[in-house]
Order: sequence, then structure tokens, then C-alpha cells
Amino acid sequence: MKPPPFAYCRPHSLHEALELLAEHGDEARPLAGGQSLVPMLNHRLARPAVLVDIGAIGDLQRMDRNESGWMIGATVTQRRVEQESVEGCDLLRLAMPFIGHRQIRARGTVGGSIAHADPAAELPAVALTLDATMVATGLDGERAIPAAAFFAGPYMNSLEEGEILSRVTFPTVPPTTRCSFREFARRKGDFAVAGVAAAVDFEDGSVTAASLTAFAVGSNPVRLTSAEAAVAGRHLDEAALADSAEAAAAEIEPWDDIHGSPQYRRQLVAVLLRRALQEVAP
Amino acid sequence: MTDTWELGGRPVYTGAHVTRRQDDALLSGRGTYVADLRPSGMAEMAVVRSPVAHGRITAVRTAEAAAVDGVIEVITAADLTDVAPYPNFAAYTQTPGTFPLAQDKVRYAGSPVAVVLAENRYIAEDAAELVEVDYTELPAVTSLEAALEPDSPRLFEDWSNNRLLDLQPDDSEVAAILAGNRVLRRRYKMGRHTAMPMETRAALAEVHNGRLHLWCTNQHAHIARTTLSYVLPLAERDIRVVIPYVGGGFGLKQHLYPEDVLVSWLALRHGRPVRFVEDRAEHMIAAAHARDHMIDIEAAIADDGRILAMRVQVVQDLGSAEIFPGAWCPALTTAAHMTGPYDIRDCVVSVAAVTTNKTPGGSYRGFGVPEAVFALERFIDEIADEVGVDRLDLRRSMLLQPADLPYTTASGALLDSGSFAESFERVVELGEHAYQRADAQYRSDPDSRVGVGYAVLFEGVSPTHHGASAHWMGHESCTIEVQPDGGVRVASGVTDQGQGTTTFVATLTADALGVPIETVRVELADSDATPYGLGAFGSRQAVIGGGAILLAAAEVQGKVKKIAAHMLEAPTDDLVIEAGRVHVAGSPVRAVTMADIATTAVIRTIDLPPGMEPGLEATARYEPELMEHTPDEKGRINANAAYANAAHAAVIRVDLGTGEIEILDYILAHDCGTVINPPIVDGQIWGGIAQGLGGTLYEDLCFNDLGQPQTAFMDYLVPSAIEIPDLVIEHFESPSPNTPLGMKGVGEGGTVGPAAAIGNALAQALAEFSPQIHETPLSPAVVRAMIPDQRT
Ligand SMILES: Cc1cc2nc3c(=O)[nH]c(=O)nc-3n(C[C@H](O)[C@H](O)[C@H](O)COP(=O)(O)OP(=O)(O)OC[C@H]3O[C@@H](n4cnc5c(N)ncnc54)[C@H](O)[C@@H]3O)c2cc1C
Repeated sequence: MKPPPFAYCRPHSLHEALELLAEHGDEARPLAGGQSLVPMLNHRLARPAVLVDIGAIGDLQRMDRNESGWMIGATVTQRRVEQESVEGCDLLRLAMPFIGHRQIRARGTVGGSIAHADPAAELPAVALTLDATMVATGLDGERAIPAAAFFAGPYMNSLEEGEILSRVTFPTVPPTTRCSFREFARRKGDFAVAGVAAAVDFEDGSVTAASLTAFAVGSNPVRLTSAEAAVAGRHLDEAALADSAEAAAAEIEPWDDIHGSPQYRRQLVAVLLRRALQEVAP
Repeated sequence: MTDTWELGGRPVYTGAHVTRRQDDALLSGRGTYVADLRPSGMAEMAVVRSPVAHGRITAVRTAEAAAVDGVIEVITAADLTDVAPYPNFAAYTQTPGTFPLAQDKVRYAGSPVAVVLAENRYIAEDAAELVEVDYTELPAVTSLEAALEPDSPRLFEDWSNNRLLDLQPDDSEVAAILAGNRVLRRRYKMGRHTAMPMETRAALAEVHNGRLHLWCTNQHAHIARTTLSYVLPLAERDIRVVIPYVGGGFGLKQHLYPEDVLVSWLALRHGRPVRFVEDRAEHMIAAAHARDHMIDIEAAIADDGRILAMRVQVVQDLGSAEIFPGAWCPALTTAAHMTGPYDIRDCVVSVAAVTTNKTPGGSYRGFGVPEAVFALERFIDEIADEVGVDRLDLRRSMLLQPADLPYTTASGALLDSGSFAESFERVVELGEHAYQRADAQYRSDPDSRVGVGYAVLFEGVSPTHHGASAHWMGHESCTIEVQPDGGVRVASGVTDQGQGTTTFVATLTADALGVPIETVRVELADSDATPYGLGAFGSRQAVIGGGAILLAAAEVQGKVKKIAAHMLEAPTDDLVIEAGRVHVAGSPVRAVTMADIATTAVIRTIDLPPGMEPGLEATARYEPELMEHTPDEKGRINANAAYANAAHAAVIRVDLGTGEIEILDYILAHDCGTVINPPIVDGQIWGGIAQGLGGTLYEDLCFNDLGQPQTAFMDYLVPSAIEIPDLVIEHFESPSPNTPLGMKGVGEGGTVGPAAAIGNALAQALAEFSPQIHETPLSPAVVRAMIPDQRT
């Protein structure tokens, strides 16, 4: 569990980092909090010749709010998000304590988690639920990538070679939107066996918009479109909960591992979604 | 030997809350572990391990690795021409002929095939990737059921089957009882899990003045030394084994692993220090695994549910069995515990230990007892259901009562004392109360079910080593030396893996001599500095090591009194020893100090009583009189010096949606005889429960059909402080009439009960679904599958 040799640089500007990435091509890899990359190096699952540490780049550490939402710099730590109130972004705040342990969150970054695209990670699920926008920066400039187009399979994102994820915009939701974040993990702090994120808006007790996501059950987080349709326009009564849970279990294509069969993961998503909807029901 | 054991002084420290000696160093990070040792010129080793579970090695190419800058040498089995295979002393087993590096076959994924020695571990790992090994893969045997098949591929071609051990005792008597009665049959299985000590295995070898010094994490300095002399071309006198601070052993570090031999061989060959520190990924596949048992019970049942007779088959999956000492002994221990603390006079157990293409099994806290307790205690609950009697009353009708003691079990265990019925009743009282509270709290929650489960057990402690090695027996040793300034050096063969051994050695020595504990210096785990002893296993050290201390101290104290009597001109019978002073009874000022006496004994020997030999030290060895090493013709054996007992109750809540088990209350009554240090006893219980719950609910070492390990450290769910519930611990003290001070071991008791208590609680909680609870681990997925789907 020792990494193969690598070179290490720690630029102070985004431009410098991008130049380093351009210079070394696919030999180089950004290093953020290191909470996923360093274990991968030690297990020799990743063998970059050059690590470009983006931790000293001030621009990537900003956290601002404007009328559309929260713009969170890529290297803002998960712990910092947890500690800020991130008003209007309840789901983000609710999800944060589920990421590993406090020590992990003190180092792990928002951008790192999203770029890493672990299928069981919380932040990608939140990004998908809230229709967050990822901002990719390259030497040619910036481009915005909607969450729905960002995740490209397990541990794969749609950044181009040489691009850095520089910030993520999480739209704020109206005060009438109620959120729930639920996951089932074997121990406190473990990656989820299955999880569900919900942001649901109501008018007079009926659902006007539902954004429901399942994660840890497939190659990337998935929007539960059938389950969303099942609650649209309805009061969240027993029947609506049951329909939605059943639709969710049917629409996902879960994987199999030592913690749970596909069938078990369908059961989990159904029960977690039912409980999330119970929680948000007015 | 002594008829009655007693302390030579007043028990000042024994039974008191004496602070553990190593805590300062351990808690402030100042303990020195093998990984902290870096002698100059040290080289490091990386092991090339087999990626295939079962295969023939057809070629190993090392040239490219050997050419890497900083690589000193790359070796394979062919280089170890002067190394002998590990011995096997057990005539009743087939012999795996374990060699430190795979010779022509590999039998598990992780098996060591080659070693790269380099200037540091980074380079060694870089080069290890360049060693190319060609394998012809063979079909893998990956379960004990498969290993039992007559046509299963054989791991060892010269064996007649995959059964390293196959003991089929005569069962005609039990068969006759079964034939005439109602018979109930069940099969139970316990999964594969193991110790996950914070410190992995490590070894550092150096050559000093032509002698090998091995610093390692092994639990036995002397057994390790002797074993090295069997395997390496070295005389035992030319080997010194030192065990520095150890971050947990739990049995896993009882084995002398290939890497211990390999660092030694390389250090001798290259004349420079060589170190191996196992990383966690290696630990998952190359350090001993444990449990993996299957137990079939057939029992003749009376109308009221009582067990009249049992026929049991225990099968243990040994993995590749390439480990020393061998790992079949847990199965024998399971057999010895199959009747529990119940009056079941007819029980016959056959035992098989089979080889599979998985990591070798080994020792782990509990050592066969959790398996027996899980099977028997689940079985009793199942009988109660089947016959329609109360599960507690059924236990009461069979439990050993005070009047039944001493009692010899069907397997030959001599239960000379204990609180079987009393501890059970106490736990039932607390358990029922806790259950009612839980029931009231969750009755209206449609997603929850609660249940309470019980387990009552005895546990052999301080066993013979012979069951595991067929070579060593059961003694422990101690040297006590009083130095001229009155300070005491005590050296013993026992070892400390963090459980507090050092503290009890100091405690008993101080009280046995009548000196302040601060004046006692403890030396352990250095084969040059301590008399030959067997070290840490089987909850033996306080009992047997304690006996050796008391014997050595009595001898020293006898001499102290004679010298003091001479100096004070008083008869020895009138002398009182206290706090390092000897005075005449009734006149505290007529006194001499331990320093006066020792100075006389060692320096001013002219002042000794006429004819007395100089010196103030003694070495004693204690071997428990009633411990037996080999079974009689019926297979019966009293393999332990003592038997502890406990009763467990678990109150759980099951989440019907997720299958998760939440422990609401865990109650345990424990009896380890005389308690030397109450906080240490509690600590052992907490730790044992944590590991027992780990194996019951969380930890699972999985393999696929090809024998590929599926459980990385990330997926190996050792419970953390958050997962471990608060415990209610009740103490009972039934001193053994046969052990020093009535002590019984406490190291493993907590580990033994959780699987049974949780299994029984789950059965009650989910009774409406008639769940089949016959296996551990009881993961949420497993539990969820017991619950019909229309529930969600
Ligand atoms: C014990 C433990 C438990 C954990 N539990 C959880 C958990 O429950 N849930 C969870 O979600 N995570 C968990 N994690 C992972 C943790 O959240 C990581 O912090 C996160 O996955 C990656 O963030 P990082 O900042 O550490 O990124 P790094 O590890 O530094 O990088 C991860 C990957 O992303 C790339 N990368 C990083 N930043 C950028 C960027 N700005 N642009 C482009 N590429 C980039 C890197 O090149 C690398 O490939 C756990 C980690 C540990 C060690």
C-alpha cells in the first residue's frame, strides 16, 4: 500500500494549474482533499505521474450566494458546507453529515466528491436532485454542465482532459419546498448501501413538483421519474406513498455486492423513499 | 504443588482498581511498536502474493524486479534450501507441510510466492509488481460443503481427501437413545470473520554477534523462538525473540507466520536488519481468518423438551491450513462445549476440519466456543418452539444447579464451580424488564419489532496448548529477583498485547511479596530475559502465569523471612511482611526493610544466617494439576484449568423496512472467579462483546466461486464505538477451588455469547414470520429476507 513514484506540484492560481494539466496531459491528475485519490494511489489503482494539488488556489475556495443559488468553489470542504447554514439549500445541509466522518469531511471537498463520481456518494445525489450546475474550466474558458449530464458512469465524469471542475452552483429552492435526505449504511459514516434524496414542493397539501433521486443503487445517482410522476398533483397519503415507493423499486437497476442483492436494494429504496415522503408531507 | 493458594502479603492491590501500567504510553502514542523500530541499514521486504486461489506454479521470473535500483534481492521458495517446512506434531491429522513460500502450488489468493528485499518498502512494492509468475489454474474449493464432497479437488495431492482432521467417535450409545425418542435436527453455521487488531503483523530481524534477534508481534516469545529453530538452520541458543508494544493480538498473532521466518532468513543472509510491516490489504488475505464452522445437531427430546442425548457433527473450514500452529483446535473446542452448562449426559461429537482454497484459518478470541454456544442456544429456543414450552423454563430444567457441582460434562470438562443458574436468573430478571420497556416504546410503531434473546454458557479457560500444537502443554513460568536496593524484578513467559498483562503481573507480585507495587519492575516478552513460558492464549495468563508468580514469590518470601528472623532475632512465625518491611508482630518498630534484607542476601552475605546461600531470587513453573493434554479412549478430556461462565441478554429492535437490528439493551452476568483488577475485567468484557457483535452483525469475509476474496478492509465492518451499545455488566464471583486464588480467565467470555443472544432475540422479534435463524452474520440484507415483502 505504497504509491508508485509521482511528481507533486502545488500551484497558486487556477491558470497555473490548468497549464500544468495541459503540459502533462493524461499523466496528470488534480489532487483536492485526497480522501479518495490518496487511497487509490496507495492501492495502485491510480498511477498519475504528476499530482497537481489544487488546494492552494484561492479562487476555488469561495462560497457565495446570489439570486439563483449557492456557488460553491471546488475545494470548499464538506465540513465547511456542513457548518454554514446554506440557507435555501436544506438538502445540501441535510446530506453533509452522511459523508464519512468529521475527519474525512474536514479534508474532503465538494468538487472532489462530485468529480470523483462515486455511485454511492451523497453530493452527486444532491446535485442531481437540485439540478445543480457544474462549472468546468479549461485553458479556453468555462463551460456549464448540468448535473444530469455530468455523471458518466461509476467514477466517471464528463470533464474533458485538461479541465478542472472549478465550482458548483446549487440552486436555492422556494421556502415551500420540503427536503429529506435518507440513506442506509451499515455503520455510521460508511458509504450508503442505498439512499434517497427528495425535494418536494406543495400547494394546498398537493405536490406541485417533486425531485426524487436514488443513489448507491446503480452506476450513478438516478432521478426516480416514475416515482415523481406517481406523486405529482397528489396529497401524500398512504396510497400515494405506496405508489411512489413501488414505482421507485421498479425503475431502478441496482447492482449486486456483498452488502446487498438487487432485490434488497429495491426494498431499501422503496422504504427510504416512503420514509422521505412521509417526512416532507405537510 | 500447593494445596491452598494464598498471597504472601495482605491483598493491597489484588481486587483493587490498579491503574494499567502501559496506559500512559499507549494513550499518548509513546509505545514503541515494531513499525517504530528503524535500525540503521535496515532493508524492507514486500511479498509477492498469488492472485489465484488454486494453481500450479509453472514459472517465476524475477530478473526484471531484481534489476530495479534499490532492490537487494528477490527470492522464491527455491532459494530457501536450508529451510525446513513447519513441523506437524499431531499424529491424528494429515500434514500440510507448510513452507514459508509456495513451492509448486498455491492454495489461496494471497499465498506468498516470492519476496523482494529492497532499501525501503516503496521500492520493494515497485519491484514486486515486476515479478512475473505463471500459474496453471486448478478448480477452487471454496466452501466446507464442497470440501466434504468425496470428489472435491484436493488441495494436497498426497492426502486421501480434504479432511485434515476427521474424528468419528463411537456413537452407538447415543444412537440407541435417539432411536427410541423424538428427534429434532438442525444445522447451524457461523460465518468467516477474524481479529482486526489496530496494529497489523510486523517483524524485524537483526543479527547481533552471530545471533538472530527477531522483534515481532507474536504472542509467544519462547514458542516463536523454538519454532524458528525448527524451521531455520539455527540453534535455539542463537535466537532471541523480543516482542515490543503490541497493538492487539486476539489470537491472530499466535501463529508464527511465513514473514517472520523470511525476515529472519534474509537478515542472516545479508547481515543487515530486515523488516516487514504488513499493510492492511495484506492483512485481509494473509493474516489468519477464523470461525467458518458448520454444526449439525441431532437430539433426542423428552416430552417437556429436555435434551436426553445429542449427536453432533462439527465441521470447520480451515482455508488452506498452511499455518503454524495448525488451526483445527477451535473445532475440538466447539465439540467440548456442545452441552453448555446443562445436565446433558449423553453427547457424542464428531469433528472434521477441512481444507479449502481460502486464507488459512487460525486462532481468534472465542476459539470455537461462540460456535458451540450459538448452535446450542439457538437449538434450545427452537426446541421450546417445537415442543411448545417456555424457553426459559426449558433452560431451567437442564441448567446445572449449585448442588450439581462439581460436574463433569459429557466431553470431560470438570466444572468445579460456577454460577450457571444464578447468573442466568439475574440476566432474565433484567432482560425481561428491559424487554417490557422496549415493547411499550415500540408497540405502536408498525415498522418495528422488538425481541429479547438469552444465552447461558460456560467457557473453558486456561487450556492446554496441546490441542493446537500436539507439542506444548500448559505451564507458565516466573522469575522473581529482589535486588540489593529492595526493588523487585519479575520476569515471566506471559506477554502483553494491550490487555493489561503487565499490570496483573505487578499486582500479584507486589501482594505476594508484600512490597509496594511501585517497586516492582515487570519484564515480559524477551526470550533472553524471561524463563520459558507459553505466553498469551486461551485466557490463561492470569490463572497460570499467576500461579507461577505465587510459587516464585512464596519461595523468595520464605528466604526473606529467614533472613529477617536472623536479623531481628525473632522466630519467623512472628514476622509480618507489609509494604516492603518486615516487622515483629505487635511491635512495628522492630523492623527491617526489603533493602536491608536484599543487601544482606546479595552483598553483605557475611550477615546471612549460617549456611544460607547468597541471593534472593527464585524461578518457578506452574502447570495446573487437573489440566489434561490428551483425551481418554472415549475422547473425553479436561483440557482447561478452569471454566468461566456467563449469561447474556440482548434486547433488540428490528427495522422491518431495512432489516437492521438495533441493540436497545445488552445485559451480561459474568463469572471469572476471583477478580484481580475490576476495570480490566470490565474492559475485557466490553472488548469481547464488541468483537462478538462484530461477528454476529457486521463482519464477513466473503469469497466468490473462484476463491477470490471479496471483502476489502472498507467492506469489513468492524463495529465502532457508535455501533456498540451500552452494556449492563453484573459480576458473580465463584472462585475455583483448583486454581491460584480461585481465578478463572476473562479474556474471551464477552465474545462468546452475542451471536446466540442476538439470534434468539431476532427469532422472538420476528416470530410472526417464522424466520429461519441458523447462520451468522445476521446482516440487514439477511434479516430483511426473513420479512415478507407486502410489509413495506
Ligand atoms: C473513511 C472514508 C469514508 C468516506 N465516506 C464517504 C461517504 O460516506 N460518502 C462520500 O461521498 N464520500 C466518502 N468518502 C470520500 C470523501 O468524501 C472524499 O472526500 C471525496 O470522495 C473526494 O473528495 P476529495 O476532495 O478528497 O478528492 P480527491 O480524493 O483529492 O480526488 C478525488 C478524484 O477527483 C479528482 N478531482 C478532485 N477535485 C477535482 C476538481 N476540482 N476537478 C477535477 N477533478 C477533481 C481527483 O483527480 C481524483 O480523481 C470517504 C472517504 C474516506 C477516506
